[in-house]
Amino acid sequence: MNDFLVHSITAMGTVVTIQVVGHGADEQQRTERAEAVERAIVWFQQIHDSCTRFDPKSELSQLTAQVGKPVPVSPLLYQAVRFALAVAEESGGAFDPTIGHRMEARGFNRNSRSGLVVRTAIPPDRTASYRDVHIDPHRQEITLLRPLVLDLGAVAKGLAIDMAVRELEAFANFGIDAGGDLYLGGRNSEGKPWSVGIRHPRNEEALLATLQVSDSAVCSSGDYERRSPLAPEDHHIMDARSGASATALASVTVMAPSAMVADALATAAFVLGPKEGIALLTQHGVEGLLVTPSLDRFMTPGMRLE
Amino acid sequence: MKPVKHNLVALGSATVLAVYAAGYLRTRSAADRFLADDSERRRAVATTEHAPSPLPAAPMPNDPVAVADSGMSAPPVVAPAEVAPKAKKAARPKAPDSAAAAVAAAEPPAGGNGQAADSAAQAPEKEHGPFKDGSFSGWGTSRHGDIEATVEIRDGRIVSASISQCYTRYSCSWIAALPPQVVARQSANVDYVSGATQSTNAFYYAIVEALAKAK
Repeated sequence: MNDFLVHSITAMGTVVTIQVVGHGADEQQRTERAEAVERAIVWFQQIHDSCTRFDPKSELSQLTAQVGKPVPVSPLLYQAVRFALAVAEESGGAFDPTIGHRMEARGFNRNSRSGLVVRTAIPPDRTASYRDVHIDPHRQEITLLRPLVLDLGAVAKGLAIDMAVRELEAFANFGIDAGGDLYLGGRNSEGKPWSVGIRHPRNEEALLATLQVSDSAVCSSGDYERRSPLAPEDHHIMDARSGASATALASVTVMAPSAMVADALATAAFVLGPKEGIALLTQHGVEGLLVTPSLDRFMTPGMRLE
Repeated sequence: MKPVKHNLVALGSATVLAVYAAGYLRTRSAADRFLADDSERRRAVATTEHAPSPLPAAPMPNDPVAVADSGMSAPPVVAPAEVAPKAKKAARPKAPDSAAAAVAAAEPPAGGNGQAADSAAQAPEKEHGPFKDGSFSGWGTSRHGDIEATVEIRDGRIVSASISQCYTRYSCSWIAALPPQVVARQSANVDYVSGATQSTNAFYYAIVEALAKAK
């Protein structure tokens, strides 16, 4: 079947590719397909614009600028923060959206579009945690109890993928790739389940394993992803409890019904390490593959590799 | 481990529904505006469509066009017209001193000379791959800085890919392994790769932009 559409854009500091299989039989179908892809892409842009900590004008940055008082926020930002706080709570703080300032301090501070460096003035001796963020579900307000910088990176991209899924699910067979965070709907253009390689954490040219995926998100967190420009031995996944890079694992891949869930739980499991990481994934009913720096593998019971 | 207070999968579903319901209209109108503004240009430039066709030359997902390291062996990727990396370059801050060494250490691993040779492009033929022959360059960007990549197209297929300029803030050596993959992955046997890297994205996008010129 040679009927598909592929569309790539840059968004959220990465390349987003959306593929829809089929639905191109006539002009009207092709128009509907293009419009759905367009709506999916708009979600990426809107969620990025609202949730980035790299733009002082974003709604997230505006929230960060106000400490100690309730700030009414959009449903989008409210929901993203609420979900991030729930993951923080479930992971005992291993995952923590308030690490933004410490990420800045380690050099993860440049706007990928403008190249401008963000610096938030916060007394360095005060380490915030997710417990310093209060949400009011009735008024949809968020209160920061002390100066902090929220980093919604592990939630926003997954949420955007999930929104794109909503726009595309009527087509049944489609793929969304946001820099290696994936959702694969239905089947590929050969009528088979999507084949997904998992990047090898120590050999960029190799795949660690291959998965057959249909109607599921697949997200990976790895220590190879982003190195600190200030200390190349540091990577971007920080254990919020210690303030250091998490070192127990080299990569975590999670399959879940939602990319937001998969991405956040992959990050949380990465920080927790193999034993607690597997326990967390199992508790929440998602599947995962955890690989240590010495390449030992740990899997949830339902994980199936090719 | 303590008992589960929130089931994150259930909470995730609720979150997705709430955000979708709240933003649906705004998204739709933004998308409609966008489509109305420049549907013609986007159809022509930013989107690759394949109608059902008996022609054997029509690209298949696992076919030639695949660029990618960063998890995209999906094929006809085309740079977005609305993103203008050229404009960005003027605003790019001076690379810090430490990066100067990195740039020096990151001479193009292959022979790309960094100059696009769009004039060398030829009209594609049916039995060719999907690209115009010639040498094409594009810029990619990431949090760490910008990269220029050059692809060589022969018989409509990618025969080489190289990093022609590298302005990332630290060594480009660890992406030097990528250009061969652009060529190799033409025959990638997976649809996607999970777990892409930030820096490879800059390279990937540079390739995306270069290939857009080869359309």
